[in-house]
Amino acid sequence: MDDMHFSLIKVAGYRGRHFALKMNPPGQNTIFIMDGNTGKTTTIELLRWCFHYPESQAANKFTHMWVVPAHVLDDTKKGPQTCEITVQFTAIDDEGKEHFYQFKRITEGESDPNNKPTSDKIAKISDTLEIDHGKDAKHGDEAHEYLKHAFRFNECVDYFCFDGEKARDIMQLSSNSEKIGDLIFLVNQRATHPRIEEYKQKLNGLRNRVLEEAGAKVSSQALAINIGKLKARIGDLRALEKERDQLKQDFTTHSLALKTFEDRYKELQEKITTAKAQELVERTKYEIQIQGKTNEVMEKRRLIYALNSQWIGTNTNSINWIKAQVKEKGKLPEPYRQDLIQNCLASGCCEICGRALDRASEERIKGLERQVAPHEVHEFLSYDLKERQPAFDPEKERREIKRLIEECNRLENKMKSIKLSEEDAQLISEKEFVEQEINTIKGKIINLQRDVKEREEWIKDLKEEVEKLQNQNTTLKEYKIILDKIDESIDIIVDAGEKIKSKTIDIISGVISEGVQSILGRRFSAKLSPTEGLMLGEDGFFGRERGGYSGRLILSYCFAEAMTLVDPIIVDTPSGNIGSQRANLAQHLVENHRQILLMCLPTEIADFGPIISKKPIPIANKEC
Amino acid sequence: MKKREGRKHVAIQKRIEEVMNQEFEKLIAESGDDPLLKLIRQGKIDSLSLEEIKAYLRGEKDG
Repeated sequence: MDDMHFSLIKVAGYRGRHFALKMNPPGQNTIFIMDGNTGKTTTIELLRWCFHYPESQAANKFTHMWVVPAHVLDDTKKGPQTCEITVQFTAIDDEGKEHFYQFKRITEGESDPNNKPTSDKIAKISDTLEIDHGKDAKHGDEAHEYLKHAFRFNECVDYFCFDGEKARDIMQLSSNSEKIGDLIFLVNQRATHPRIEEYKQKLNGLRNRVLEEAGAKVSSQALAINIGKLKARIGDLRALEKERDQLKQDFTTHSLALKTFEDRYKELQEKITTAKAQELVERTKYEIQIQGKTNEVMEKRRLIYALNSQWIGTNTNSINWIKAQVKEKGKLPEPYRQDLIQNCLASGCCEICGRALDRASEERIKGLERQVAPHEVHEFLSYDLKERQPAFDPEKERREIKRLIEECNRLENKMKSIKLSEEDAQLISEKEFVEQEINTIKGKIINLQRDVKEREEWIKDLKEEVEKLQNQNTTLKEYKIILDKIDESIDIIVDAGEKIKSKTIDIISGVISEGVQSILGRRFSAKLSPTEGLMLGEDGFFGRERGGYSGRLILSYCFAEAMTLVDPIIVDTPSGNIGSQRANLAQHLVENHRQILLMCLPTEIADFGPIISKKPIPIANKEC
Repeated sequence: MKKREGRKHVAIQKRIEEVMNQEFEKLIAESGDDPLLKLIRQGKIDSLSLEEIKAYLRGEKDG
């Protein structure tokens, strides 16, 4: 897809914003004048939310500035509400045909201040991607999948939707020597080589031609079947290779996300630990105590379970009572015999075997009532059934558990009575969210690793099967020279694809440097290297601290431009903190993008806006 | 490829793709004279018959 052009972004309800950004026609840029707190940042964040997360994963994933997760519904509205964002754009396919796309995300729910982690109680999120005015439509996660494959929005939305927050992230990455690895990882993600696919397609096309021609020549049915099988297996092989490559790509994306979340978690934990707020320290203290008590309870419960053989079935009282009866009365206690004896005598039949009782039997039964417990019973009770002193006292443990639980409740009440500041509560909430995300991503990474390994094994098996089928077919033997060469050529292409990755850093470095020079002047340049990261150069001297804030901000801009995979650039407050380079930045943007969409503060218009568009459009937040 | 009316410049991302493609072609060329890749580069792979390709691979025919 090429020549992408955004024509409309309409926000209705999300975070209380209501406006439509209608862009100028293709070939023209658009500037929207939006005052502070009117939805500029929200627009960028909504686009990132929509293009990063498919429908099924979008709940509680919206982030606003440094709040993670943030509410997406209108928190000033009571009762059920529906929010909607519509993004319309066009793009031209490889055959030169223009297509129209309309992405829509509708969120239904209710805002409840007591709901955690955000105030959002989301009932439903629905995504739709309409293609060519209703000719085709993708719903749910399929919409995301389509955009992911056709435009790679998920990979580059952070760059083509640019704002101060992203600039800050890039500045941090470029100024921290410990984060060079992360930066290079991001650049490697950018490494694309569409020609590889083109070459592979040509070679696979040649293989198909060989199979077709061989198929036409076969004289026996067995050979025809062999060719049919071969074609099917080769088809399977291609599909599997594609699947494996996609899984590998997902694995890389998830690994990067995991690293980002892990860094954030570390950062949050440090913030929480060193937070000056006494409340937070106290709360953490209680949390640790509660955790300790809970662990103790768990351990005691585990012990009770593990040692069950030492106490289950031990009924000291019952046994002692039987013993006392035998000792005092000289016979086994009631009701062991009485009911049975009485019933036998009343019915005239043995209650055990059902036989009719003769006189002698009746006499014997009557005699049983007087029978003393035989000596063996005494022996049994005194020795065999001698009550062993239990080594483990469950009752004592139960009392201890009860005490610990009461202690936990007391600590929890104390903890609840601590009033956390909003900022501290946010830190804790974000830490919990990040922790949850880390666990989810870790799970996904394990699955992806397993899936890739599985595909590799299947591919190996299929390759062997294909080779076997090829060798079995006598007709194919005359084409063996071509088939063998195809495999060799594919190996060369794959190898070149890997090598190009290492070249990407130099290419991106060159593009960033060109951008920096065009904005800051010829004295300036930039360098990206795997050992030193991203640096600004002044008169040939490079450093992480060169250029001041505005210089590094421009470096971030140029990095984002080099990293995006689509041409339009949407920027929130584009010239804030740029200083005297505003006009140069505007000129650079005009010269390097086919479509520029800017959401500017009214103060940015004077020496910046007119270079990009002569007719800025004022936008007001207005519920229709 | 159809281009819309408007400015004539080449977008940054397009430039990157172009440079990367050039590098890729260079790598392919450097990786020895692979006959099939040579045919693809010359745009001949689809027009030659299989017999001609076989002869070319055996060195009996020029590409």
